Amino acid sequence: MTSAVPDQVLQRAVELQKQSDAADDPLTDPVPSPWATSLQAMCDCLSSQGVIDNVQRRHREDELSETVETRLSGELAQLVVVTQMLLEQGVITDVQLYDKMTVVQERFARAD
Amino acid sequence: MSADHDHDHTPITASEEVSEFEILEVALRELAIEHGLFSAEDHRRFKEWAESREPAGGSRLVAKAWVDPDFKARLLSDATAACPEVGIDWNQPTGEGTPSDYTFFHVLENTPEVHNVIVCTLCSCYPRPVLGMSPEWYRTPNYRRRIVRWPREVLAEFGLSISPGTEIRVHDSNQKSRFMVMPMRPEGTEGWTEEQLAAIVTRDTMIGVALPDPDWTAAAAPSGAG
Repeated sequence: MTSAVPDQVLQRAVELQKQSDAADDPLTDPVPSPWATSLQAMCDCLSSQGVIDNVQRRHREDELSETVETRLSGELAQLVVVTQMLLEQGVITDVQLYDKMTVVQERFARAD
Repeated sequence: MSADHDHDHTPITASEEVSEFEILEVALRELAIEHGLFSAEDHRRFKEWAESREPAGGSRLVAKAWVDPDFKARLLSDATAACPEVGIDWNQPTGEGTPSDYTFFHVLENTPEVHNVIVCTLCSCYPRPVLGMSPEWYRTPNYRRRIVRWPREVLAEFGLSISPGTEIRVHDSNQKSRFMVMPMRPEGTEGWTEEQLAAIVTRDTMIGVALPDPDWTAAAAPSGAG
């Protein structure tokens, strides 16, 4: 099963990586993200509650990195796979995710 | 904090630093909390735990290896299995490790012939259970790209001059393999206790951009240019 949001995230990550590779300019290389630790804590929470098994998720990340995009950073592979797994399990829906992303985006935008 | 305190720097403007990836991470987390999968407090505690790991764990590993040849052999042959001997469990906090840190952990022994240094060229993989969170410079493109191409030059920028006769090996971490450097025990530390030795094994010596100095500990405040 594929879902729009993780597919879009994956495409965007690949696009950014290609831009960086093409420029061969260290300044355009994506700096590791400030949200990475928060994502890891979320994965710990999901694992501790039995929602997403950490080992199974790591295997999915390996598969993604080996078959789809070898230059995807660890944290982006993790983000894509967690999203895919939550959607596949029916824990959240595409619509809920789109709506929540819109809310979050608007909240960030009005924070200034 | 006072509401009327003065700042002479440019105010941070929201959204300019926010990526779509960050928005997705926040959205996923908030949905999970709303669905009762875990609480915001659970999330904060896991994050705090991860961010509270310190290089002191790695320092204890090195100090123990310096004084105990049997432990050193175990550490070099299976570092993950040897870690519990100094109180570090790579299975924490979930029983399966952290989301990205349940890995093969390798300790790299420096010798007079070989100096090791670690990096993650792709992102910022780092042996956090033993060294804590990575320093900011470790995550920069400047370090990640250049250390693999010009290691001797980059190490010199850290003030570390490696003799031309010593081979420099750069080890690229990834999601499945994490590395830590075991520096050589410096002269002048004969008879020291493990605790004394651990104090001079600073974070940077275990990344490989510095060497232990009997007169220098991580806790000491720099005294300025000599």
